[in-house]
Formats: sequence, C-alpha cells, structure tokens
Amino acid sequence: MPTVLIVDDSATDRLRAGGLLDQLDDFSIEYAVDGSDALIKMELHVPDMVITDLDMPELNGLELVAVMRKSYPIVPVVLMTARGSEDIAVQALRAGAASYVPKRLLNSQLAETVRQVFLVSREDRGRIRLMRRMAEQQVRFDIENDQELIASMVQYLQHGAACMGVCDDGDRIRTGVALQEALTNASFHGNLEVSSALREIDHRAYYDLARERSVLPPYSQRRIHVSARYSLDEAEFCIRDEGPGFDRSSLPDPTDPANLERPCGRGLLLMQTFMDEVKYNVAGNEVTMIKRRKSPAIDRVQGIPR
Amino acid sequence: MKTRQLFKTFMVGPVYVVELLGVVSSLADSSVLQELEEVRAELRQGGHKALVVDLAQAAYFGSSLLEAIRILWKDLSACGGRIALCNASEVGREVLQIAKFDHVWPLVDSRDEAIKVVTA
Repeated sequence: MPTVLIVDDSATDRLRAGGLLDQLDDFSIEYAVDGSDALIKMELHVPDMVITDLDMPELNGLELVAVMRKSYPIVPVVLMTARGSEDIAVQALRAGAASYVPKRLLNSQLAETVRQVFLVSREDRGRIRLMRRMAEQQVRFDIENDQELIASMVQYLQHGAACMGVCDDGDRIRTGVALQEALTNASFHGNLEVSSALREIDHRAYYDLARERSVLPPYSQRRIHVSARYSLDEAEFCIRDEGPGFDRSSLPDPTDPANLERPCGRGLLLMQTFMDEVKYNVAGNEVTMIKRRKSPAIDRVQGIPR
Repeated sequence: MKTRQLFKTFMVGPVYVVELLGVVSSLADSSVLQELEEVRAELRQGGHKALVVDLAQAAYFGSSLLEAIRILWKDLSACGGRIALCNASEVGREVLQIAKFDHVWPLVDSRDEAIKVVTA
C-alpha cells in the first residue's frame, strides 16, 4: 500500500488531513511534526508522497521541497497553504512541489488532489526507473538555421548527458555552452556563410546578412545535422553543416592580447576547453565533441559505485 | 530605470549599470541586438564613462554575451570610460578567464565592489 507522509506542526491540521486520507483506504498514513522530523522519517522509510504545511518552525515547507528535490526527486510533494502564504506557495511550486491545497478547502479537495498527483507520479516514477536502466542512447536531428530550434537543441542535448549521469550540474552547463557555440558556428559560419571578418567591421551588418541569407537559397535550404550518442561513460555529439567548411588555422588566437578586441575564435576556444575531446573532419564542416564522465560511474538503480 | 527583455539599465550615482536578465544565447535575435543598440545609444547620449555589468541572473553565457560586452567596452574605451563586471556564476567566471577577458575587465563579486572599481 502506498505511504503518504503528512508534515504539519499543528497536531489538529495534521490529524485532520490524515483523517481525510484515511477514508480512502488506498494509502497508509504517517506523520511528522516539521520538515526536520520528516527528513528523519524519510531516512527510515521513503514515502510515496509528502503532504506538507508551509509555515513550520524547524525546516519549513519551502526548505523541505528544496531538500526533497535534491535527495528524493521522484517523491511528489503537495502543499497545504494557509491564507497569506500564497507567495511562498508559488516559490515552492517553482522549486518543484507537485500541487497545493488551501487549508480551508482540505475537506473538499485534499483526497482528489492526492489521488491525481499519485496517478501522475506513478507514471513518472515508472519512466524514471526505466531511464535509470538505460545503457546507451542515440538520437539524430536535422534542423534549420533557426535560433529558437538551436536553443531548444542545446537544452535537449545537455539534458540527455545529465540524465545518463555523464555530467554533474556544472559540467551540464559547460556542455551546453560548447554545444551552443558549435551549433551557432554551424549555422552562421557554415550554412549561412557569414564571416567573422564582417562582424569585426560591423556587427549589425553581420547579423543583417545572416537574417537575409536565412530565407535566401541556397543558404536557407541547408540544414544542421546533429547526432548524439550517450553511454554511461561519455556523451558524444556530432554537428555537421552543409556549408563549404572552414580552415581553423586561419583564425587568430583569441587569447592573444592583441586580438582581445577582435570577435573571432572564442566559440572554438570554449568548445575546446569545456569538452574533453574535439575533432573536425577534413572539410571543416563537421565537429565531433566528447564529454566524458569525471566521477566514478554509479549504478543508477542501486545508487552505488559500479 | 529601463527594463527590457534581457538588459535592465539604471544609474547608481554616476555609474551606468546594465543588469543581465537572462541567458544571451545569440545576438542573432533581432530583439536582442536592438536592445544592445539601445544600451549603446544610452551610454553614448548620456556621456557615461563608468559602466558596471551585473551578471547575477545569467547562469551561464558564451561568446555571444562576450561579444555584446566587448562592443560596449569598445564604445566606452573610445571615450576613456571604465568597465567592471560582477556576480558572475562559476561557469561565467570560467568563460571570462578562458577568453582572457578577466585581464582587461575587472571581475568582482558584488555590484558595490564593481561600482567602487569604476569610480576609483
């Protein structure tokens, strides 16, 4: 039977919420008197759902949501909100709480809300459990020279690396920066053939030309081909454009103090620094970047080193 | 104070402050470029010679934001002005160091420190 942990420093409200759920006969109910007590109880037994008051003396509901997001990400949290706590409730929802019920509406809404959140979380939990058992994944996209698509692609690819456990939070962001640079290069310098030399003279003319070419054949017909392969040990990204390619050796060293005022080559430098391996094809229109896991691999099912 | 999509600008005494409101992933977006041009115009028309760029809300950034700051820096340098950056995230700091811009743009932890740097 699924367990629901009810957290409230008010014994009356705690028992009231428990009584409402007890009538469902679907859940086993446990209680904690504040956020700290809840975390102690969760160490002994992880519940299937937490229902918490927001305003508590020791570790309030907002702080509890933050800790749970980190330590128990698949356990949903439902907030019980009193009048005047709406702002904190919004913060808690942004921090990852699944839903909320105003305390004055507990009688009419709590049971239904808990039932709905539980159904959704059961599906999420199944998906997350399945994803933790993924050993390898490959994806491929062909996208237009569209900055919005590129931004979404960066988010998607870095999320994939994080989900496979290759990157921690910091490395996920570094990977995102490198991907953004590589995709921007593929679009601007590759498919649209706009040169950094123009940006050096007039950055507005550079972006105007890119905009013109993005709707003008043959530039507009070119695509960026992206493939990613994720394993437990590394993420490999391959980005190819349909432009004529470029010669990296022709770029000035962006870290040379004499070149600091020039706009060229910094993207490649960031890619080189933030990825573990970067290689180009001979034509210069394809880059392959590899991000390797730094920490020892963890068995994501058991949570122990492999 | 003027709040745009990505650049909020305001004065703190004689210092013109630009606060980043999010991630600048590309200057190709015409609205971002337009905002940058507005900031340049304000700097120029106000005759401002002290600029602070507050990066607190930019969790990360790449060469596009470096390019935007470089453009402001060039404008400012041309009239003998000074620039300082503050509140960069860990990855933001790394990006500035990798590009060696930390050698030419003072990078400090808080806005108050940055204001002191450009008014000293």
